Amino acid sequence: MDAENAPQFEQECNDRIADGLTSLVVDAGELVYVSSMGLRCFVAVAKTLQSKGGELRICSLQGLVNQVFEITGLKRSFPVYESLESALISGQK
Amino acid sequence: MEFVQKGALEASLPEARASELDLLIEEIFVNVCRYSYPDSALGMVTVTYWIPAPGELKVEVADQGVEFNPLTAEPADVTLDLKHRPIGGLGIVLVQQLAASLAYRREEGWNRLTFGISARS
Repeated sequence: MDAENAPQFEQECNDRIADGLTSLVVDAGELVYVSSMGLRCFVAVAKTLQSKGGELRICSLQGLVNQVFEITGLKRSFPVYESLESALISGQK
Repeated sequence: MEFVQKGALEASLPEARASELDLLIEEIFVNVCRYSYPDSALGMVTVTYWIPAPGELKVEVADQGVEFNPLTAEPADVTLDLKHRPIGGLGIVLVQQLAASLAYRREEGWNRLTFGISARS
């Protein structure tokens, strides 16, 4: 997820939000790269969801992506889960 | 990116360090495009690498744009909660944290940012 394709992710999320969803789960299990342009989109989407009373949940962070979320403190800013299952279960509470 | 990845191979950097190298190059390059050459001005960027020792790679990114020293830029506060976070500003944090060494100099109208990446870092 780099400067080139991150806006596409943000647009996809915004489309879902326009459809009426107020919380989204991002399964990052196959995401191997994220730059600050990608992080910018994660933060923007999360803020939009937060303003609607929902949240952006992220699960299955791996390798460099996990390291990037750690360094930038985003692991503490977002609800982060070990697995997709635990992220989904959390939403049912 | 392919060019500096040749350097990663020549320096025998492990795969994890090579991915960090991609990230460092993207962050620095996007920064140059955004701050050194604002308003879509055309400008030159040169990327040079060398291997000072086995397992060590140095990369210099140089441009002739507006003087900008990312080492003195105020890094984003990574302790803020989501509500109080600005949307951007994390690129410099990544560069400062992932590079094993980082140096900037302004020389005859050029910004020259050099970073190091090590097999051991």
